[in-house]
Amino acid sequence: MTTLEPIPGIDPDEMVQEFNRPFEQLSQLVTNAKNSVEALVHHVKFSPFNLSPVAALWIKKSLKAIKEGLAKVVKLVADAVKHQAPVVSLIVQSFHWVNAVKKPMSNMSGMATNWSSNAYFGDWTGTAANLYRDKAKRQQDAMAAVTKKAEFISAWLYKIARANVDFMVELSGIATKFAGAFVTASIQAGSVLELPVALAKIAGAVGDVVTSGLDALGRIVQRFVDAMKDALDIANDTADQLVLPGGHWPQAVLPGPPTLANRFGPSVHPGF
Amino acid sequence: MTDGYTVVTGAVRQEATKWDGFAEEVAPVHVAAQNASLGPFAFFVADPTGGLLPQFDAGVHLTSYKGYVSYMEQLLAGAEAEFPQIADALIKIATAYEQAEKVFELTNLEEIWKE
Repeated sequence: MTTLEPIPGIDPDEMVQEFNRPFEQLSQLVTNAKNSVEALVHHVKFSPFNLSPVAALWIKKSLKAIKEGLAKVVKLVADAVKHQAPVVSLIVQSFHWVNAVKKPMSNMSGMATNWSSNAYFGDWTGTAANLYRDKAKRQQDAMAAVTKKAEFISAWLYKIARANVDFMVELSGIATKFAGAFVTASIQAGSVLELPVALAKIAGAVGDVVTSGLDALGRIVQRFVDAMKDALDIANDTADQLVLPGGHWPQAVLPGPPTLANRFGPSVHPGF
Repeated sequence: MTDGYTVVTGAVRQEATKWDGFAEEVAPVHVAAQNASLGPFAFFVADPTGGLLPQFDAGVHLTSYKGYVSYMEQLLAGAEAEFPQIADALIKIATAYEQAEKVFELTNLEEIWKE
């Protein structure tokens, strides 16, 4: 089975915050970028300059490139917002496998065949005692197996959660650079000669930001693809025949009619 | 003390209590597994079919996870059913010893370890 980095600590809050933080800036950044693009379009539309056809075409091409870049960033942010709450649930679930499953199962596994707190248990010997010890050991093995499985699924989710956090940090960086690309250039667009040049510069800057940003995001996407290989491990891991025969908990008490159950009279044990 | 075996029924009953405790402890663990499902959007904050990013099938993650959750759920349901039965079997053993009013070798272990 693939070795995965276990989750650090027991509290998902810090990671949830780390994931949510970029979202707080993103809506403002997108608004800023949209406003900048609108201002540029407005500036061109009401330009007092008499533009040559070549300059006008150049400007048109630049504006088109800028709008396309903006549309890509807006799409990535809109998708992210749509997935934000579900990804938070994945982060929380990653920690929950450890806290709510691994820990109690590990605790029981440690106690199942530990008879130190049962002072006279050692005095019980013979076939019945040995049979019980064997059954307790098999239960303990199953507890230990489930403990490991809970840890594995938690680590698998954590790896995916970490990639999502990194994706959002990267996306936030792209939006910041994107919004920043307008700041210097738009000031320069003050004369008939400068306008097409300035727009081309913005279009170039925006294009670079989007291209390099998408490359970086693509590398993070690769980590999700890698996680699919771990998913195959997960599928294979369910074939744990020895400790968990047929994918079931080992039965200490076999099913069947309790034909002689009353041989010893009514049980004093509640629930029997 | 006869035939090389001894027993203290109190110790056997104490074991039963232990397994009843496990039954109580494993019940919320089983519930945790039942509530561990995740939605289709939980695995990736972006849309891998949107054309901007390298495409992959995010559904594979969901399918794998779903399968694992139901596997864990099945295991833990088994544990939840098993632990109180172990406690019951131990009580039967202790009761058998007590009703014989002596320590004796049980000859019906197969019946005791049956539902």
